[in-house]
Amino acid sequence: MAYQFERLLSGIEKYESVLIRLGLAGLIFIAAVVFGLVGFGVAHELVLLSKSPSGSSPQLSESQAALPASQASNAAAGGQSIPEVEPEMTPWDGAGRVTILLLGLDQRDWDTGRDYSRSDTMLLLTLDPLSQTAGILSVPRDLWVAIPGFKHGKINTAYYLGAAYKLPGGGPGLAVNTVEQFLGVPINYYAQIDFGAFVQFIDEIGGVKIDVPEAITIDLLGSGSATKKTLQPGVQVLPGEWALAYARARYTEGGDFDRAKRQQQVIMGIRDRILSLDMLPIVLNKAATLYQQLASGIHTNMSLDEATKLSILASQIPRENIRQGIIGKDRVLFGRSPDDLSILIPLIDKIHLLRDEIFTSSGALGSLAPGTDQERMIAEAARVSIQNGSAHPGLGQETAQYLQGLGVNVVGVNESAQRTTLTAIIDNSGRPYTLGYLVESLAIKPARISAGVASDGQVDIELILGDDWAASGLVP
Amino acid sequence: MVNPDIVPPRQKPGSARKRSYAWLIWLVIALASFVSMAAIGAAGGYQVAQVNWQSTQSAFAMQSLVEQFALGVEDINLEQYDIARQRFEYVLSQDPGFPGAVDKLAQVIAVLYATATPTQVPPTHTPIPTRDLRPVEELFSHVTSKFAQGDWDGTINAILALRQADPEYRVVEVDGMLFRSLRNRGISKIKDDGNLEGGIYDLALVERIGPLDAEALTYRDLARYYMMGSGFWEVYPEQAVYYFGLVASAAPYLRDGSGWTASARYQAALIQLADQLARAEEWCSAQEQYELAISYGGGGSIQQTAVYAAEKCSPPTETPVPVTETPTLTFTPSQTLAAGLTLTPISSPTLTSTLIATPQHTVTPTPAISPTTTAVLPPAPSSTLSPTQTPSPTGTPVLLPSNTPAATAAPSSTPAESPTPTVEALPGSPTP
Repeated sequence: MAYQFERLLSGIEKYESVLIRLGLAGLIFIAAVVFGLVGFGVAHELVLLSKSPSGSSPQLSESQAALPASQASNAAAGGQSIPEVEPEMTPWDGAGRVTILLLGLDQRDWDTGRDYSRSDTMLLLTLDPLSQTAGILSVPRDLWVAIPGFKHGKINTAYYLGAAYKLPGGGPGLAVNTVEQFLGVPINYYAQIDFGAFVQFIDEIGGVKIDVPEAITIDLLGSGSATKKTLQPGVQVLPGEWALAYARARYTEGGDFDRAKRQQQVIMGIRDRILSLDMLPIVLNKAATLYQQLASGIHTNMSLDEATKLSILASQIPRENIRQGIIGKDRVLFGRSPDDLSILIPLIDKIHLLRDEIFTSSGALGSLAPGTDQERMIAEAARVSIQNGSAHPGLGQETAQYLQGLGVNVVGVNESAQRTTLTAIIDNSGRPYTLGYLVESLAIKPARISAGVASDGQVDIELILGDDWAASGLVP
Repeated sequence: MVNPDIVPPRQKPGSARKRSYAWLIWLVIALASFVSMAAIGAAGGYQVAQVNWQSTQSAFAMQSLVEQFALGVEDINLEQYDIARQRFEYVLSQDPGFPGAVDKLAQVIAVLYATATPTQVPPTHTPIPTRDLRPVEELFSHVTSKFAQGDWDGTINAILALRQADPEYRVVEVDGMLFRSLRNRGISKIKDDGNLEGGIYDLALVERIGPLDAEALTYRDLARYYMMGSGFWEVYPEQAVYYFGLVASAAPYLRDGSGWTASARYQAALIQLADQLARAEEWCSAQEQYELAISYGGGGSIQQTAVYAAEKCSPPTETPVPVTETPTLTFTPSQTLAAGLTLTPISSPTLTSTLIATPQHTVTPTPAISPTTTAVLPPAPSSTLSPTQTPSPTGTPVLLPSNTPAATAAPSSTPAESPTPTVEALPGSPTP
């Protein structure tokens, strides 16, 4: 009996054991499901977060609430809010030059409660990964330019018009298009930075070290009546609010041009601060905070991934490889617009020089062949034919011998039936080094250079000697 | 009472040890379950997020396309054709089959270019690239393939990709293809795309590799003059007339990003200058400019204003009616936005004078304008336009006319900006 009781107990124990095991398995299953759901949710959000520009999910623009009357009617017709259209810009391919338009909006427009703002600051940042060079170009806000789709106007109104008229791409889109059409350089991204984010960012990195060249009075934002501060000359570390005020101050002798210099000074100061050895651990520790600020205070079409890559690239570029330029008073004329506003009329050629200095002096879209002009010409091995169009028989052969001695690949010489006064050269295949070498050596005028097509494909460059070459005295 | 036959089960030796390991087995099972479920969940979340993202993007994209299309239609109604063009082009770039977009774009383009000077495209002189189809390496082969196709943009992108992989691979050849591609793309941007600065920039890149040829130089100079004239637009009409006159004489079809052609700009600048002269009561000069504008296709109200200016220049016995100021050249919307900025999109390059007079009496026609003020180019290729053929009525540009608004620019700055440019006519350019 006792034994049976024991068996019964044992059975119950077994049953309990099974129950416990089942319960345990159930708990594990439920917990695993919870884990699965958490994993699902986390992965879902991370994917969306990584895909959204500025790390935020797609959302409607706040500025769409207030529209010009005629445009608002359109929005109302749809009965719903309108999604903001990202500007159509060519994403960075990771190889070539990448250019970003940095925009700062006009605080006065916000202060007065206006729906749309003008861009107060326009800076182009450009990085070239191949040559490890970078550049900063400041564009003054009063520049008188053609705004695509609108009348001529100050360049700072492009942002406003794009937003107010709800153009594809909005304010940033039209601002980018306007700068692109004015400067000709392709812009891949834009970044519009809020004042608050700027201040917090500087504070997080412990301020920015600035060498103030001369005493300057700055006006701190949102500090009540006692907002005026004077910075004395010398190197000092400015907290965020002060750095912002320093970058925004325009009431100095140089006005907006000095302001542009200060803005570039602050940008370089931030760069130096972040890359300094003592700051790097702090920046890494605060990476999460910095990221939050980037996401909330910077409006950009860059994805987090792209921004990270660009930050790494920027950190690798040495300071001496960063060119800085300002479209300053020596590159503009001062004038008045038809509605009597102060404007700056661009001196195109001078602006081209500055642009080319910053954007074209290096990079993947340039000459990469090593060596001297002559070495590159020899390496090119272009097939050159010579026609003597001068009145001097035998000049062709003499010139051919001379050029062969220099390493030119002369493949044929003949007398031209047509008399030529000015020496001409035709590049049939795109052989820039031989072309340049011959143009230089024979002092050929630019108007006598042409790009052609070889009829038989056997000759890359045709050189037609004229009387000027015979008379030049350069013939050996 | 224990039945000896029945032996109670005993715990087997080691069962305690087994029990002691049981928790470990459970733990392993639990952990494995958690990890695998989390992984499965994450994978599922990733997939669903991808789908959600795509569907959200598609919905947003479609919503924005519908919105832009509707705004474009409204822009047409408001005669803001250039803005409408941007919107329809955007819609078509995102969805080429968007219902009605092609028709609307065609409608807008028809209006935009209806009043512009008829464009005559000169014969293409872009050379055919070298047929270098050697399949060496995939990227290089891609470069050569694009180059051979004459896809300059594709070639340049392929070169960038190649150089990312190996900047030194067949570097001399690649430099050569880059040279030619940038050159051709630059000319195409200026000539065909209305992207004048983009073309100038490409040609600046070309110059870093090798010398520019005459055709490229000519296009670059034309684009430069156009941009210079644009800088003076509506501010210093004399300067605008000078630069746009240079461009219009050699390439009247050349246009900027807004769709205005050089000749339309030139004509409008002439009217701006004439209006300015008329306001200063320099009637004879004003009349000269009006006549020149008319010779470029202007009519209607300009004709009337020109007649009025002629009358004032050589006054008849009757007393003329006073001049009435009317809104100018561009469409002005009926609203002023909150920031105090008046939005003034360009409706189309239609031209009217700001000064409209309605003569109520017969005016003796004034002598025709001197033909020396009109730039006429011989149709032969490579002809050179001498500075004396400048369409500017004064021949030499003056930065600050006496009646222009106050400006701090010094007149001496003009020569630095424009050292007496000479424009070579493009082959096949129509005589304006």
